[in-house]
Amino acid sequence: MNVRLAAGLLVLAAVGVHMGLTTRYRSEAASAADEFRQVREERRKVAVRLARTVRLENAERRAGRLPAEGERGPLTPARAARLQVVRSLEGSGIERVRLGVSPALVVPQSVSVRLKGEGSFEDVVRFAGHIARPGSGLLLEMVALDTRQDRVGLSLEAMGLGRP
Amino acid sequence: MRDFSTRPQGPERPRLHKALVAVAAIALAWSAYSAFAARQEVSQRRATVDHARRDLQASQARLKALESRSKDLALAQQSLLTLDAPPPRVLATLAELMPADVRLSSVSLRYGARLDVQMQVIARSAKAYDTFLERLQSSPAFESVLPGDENRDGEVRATVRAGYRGSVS
Repeated sequence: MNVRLAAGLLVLAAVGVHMGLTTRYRSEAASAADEFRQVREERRKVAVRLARTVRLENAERRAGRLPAEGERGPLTPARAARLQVVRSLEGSGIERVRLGVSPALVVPQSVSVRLKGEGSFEDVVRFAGHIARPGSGLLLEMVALDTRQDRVGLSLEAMGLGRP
Repeated sequence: MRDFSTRPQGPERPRLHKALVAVAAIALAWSAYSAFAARQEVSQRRATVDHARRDLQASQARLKALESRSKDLALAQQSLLTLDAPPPRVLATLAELMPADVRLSSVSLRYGARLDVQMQVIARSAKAYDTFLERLQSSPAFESVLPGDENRDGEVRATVRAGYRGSVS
């Protein structure tokens, strides 16, 4: 009789431990897992935004600014932009060039650059990529190419960023 | 002395009771172990959550600092597009999608919050033009492909607009 009672008590204790502790802990573990999934998702979204923001900030730095000083003294943003474009044009194969540089109204200390010209397809495409290379201080706004028999016409608008 | 009595032997109750107690004890031990393991799991998961939360808070603080420092988002996006999607790269991506019978008579790229591409397409046949459009629409490098007016009488001449996504997202 005593042995059966002891066995019964042990079984009751086992059930009590299972119901009172194990089940509660498992439920807590499940809610912790849910919470982790939520935090992980939030962390992923923030990481995406962070990566994009870092890329944007790096891009501003990589784009650079127009030089404030030239070989013959200080340069205005308009002169600096013109010099940049003229140097890019040298040996580029672009002909019949029309170039205009004027102060831009939207961004302070910046200038608008407008250029038209023509050349072979390879020359025009290479020039369009070269003119706003990293560190040039020029940002592309519009690039248009149209075929004219064996030549390609180029129309380009860019913004030159002066030093603040 | 051997027992030659014919009296029936009693049931082996004590042995059964011992087995019962043993099974109950094993059940209790298993239950206690399960509770202990579950408790350990809770601690581990909470530590993981705390670690992830600390990570999240650090990233949020960094993001806030960077965003407050960035003055002009439009300018930054234009810088990114100019550097990551220069005309040679965009045109090379387009060229990869063009069937042999398709060429562009003109193309213009507008750099702003995104890079808009507008092109005048000339295709020797309607089938070649359709193939080009399909490739453009299924290319991950382009989005919002919008075919414009097209003349399908013999040689196809059409206008197509699209946004260039490239590696910029």
